[in-house]
Amino acid sequence: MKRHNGSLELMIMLAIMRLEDAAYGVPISREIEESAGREVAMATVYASLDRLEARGLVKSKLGDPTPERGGRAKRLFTITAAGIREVQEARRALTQLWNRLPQLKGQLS
Amino acid sequence: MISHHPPRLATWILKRLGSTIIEEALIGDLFEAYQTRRSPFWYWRQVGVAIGVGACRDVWHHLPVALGAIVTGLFVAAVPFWWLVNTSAASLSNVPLPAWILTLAAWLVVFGSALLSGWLVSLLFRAHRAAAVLSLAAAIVVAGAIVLPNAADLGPLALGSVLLLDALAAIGGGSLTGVRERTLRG
Repeated sequence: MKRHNGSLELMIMLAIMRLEDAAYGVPISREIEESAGREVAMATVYASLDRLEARGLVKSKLGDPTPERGGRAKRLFTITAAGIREVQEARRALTQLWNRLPQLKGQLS
Repeated sequence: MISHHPPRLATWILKRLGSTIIEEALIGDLFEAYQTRRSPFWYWRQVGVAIGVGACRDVWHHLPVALGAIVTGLFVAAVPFWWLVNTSAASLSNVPLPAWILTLAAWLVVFGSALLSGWLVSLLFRAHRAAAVLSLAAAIVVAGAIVLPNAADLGPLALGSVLLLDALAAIGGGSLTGVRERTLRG
């Protein structure tokens, strides 16, 4: 059976797509905080990223160590083709469900 | 640019109790985010969540490790406690020392054995240290809540404090072993 993404995982994939080459822990969690209006612990973001990577929806590589990070490297994430398909599928399914709600019909752009 | 160092003790604990998902990258992210937030409370909370999330994942993926750690750790912690309650309590009552010294010695045995069991479990289950040590700490709290009310005359507040200190002793013991080698994926 196909495993579906949770809302956090979907938000993370969308944040990675928006951030493009600058997608790592700090800006990803900031994107979620600004969009969803709630803070998500960094470790929770990493746990989701690990799950997404294990499923082949995102991939990661290590950047160079930088002084503002105490000499530690960034782990940069990019979305895979399978990840993009997953996001599109989620959008299609959510839009369809949304449009079936009579009181909200037509309110989605 | 001046770097503001996050609480070093928190980072030290994270490095020692961090599970497989805790990587240098996460510690670097916390360091970077701390430059803008600069709240020690925020940092400690992030570290707590990181250890908790990592340990839950490790326990979930390595249940036999958690069970092995609980059995081993409780056995190590229980032997001195059993000796104290069943063998030495009667003979110690004849020793001409102030009662508070005997009480202190008894509690030292209890906390010392928890510290020892945490250290031993951490050594034996080095690859999944956080899962092993935190499972043991939780088991000590549960076992203590069952055993201690029958062994010592403690009020609810004192019992809670003892259980918390006992769990912290086990976690402290688990933190004493060296920093786990990390492999960064990439």
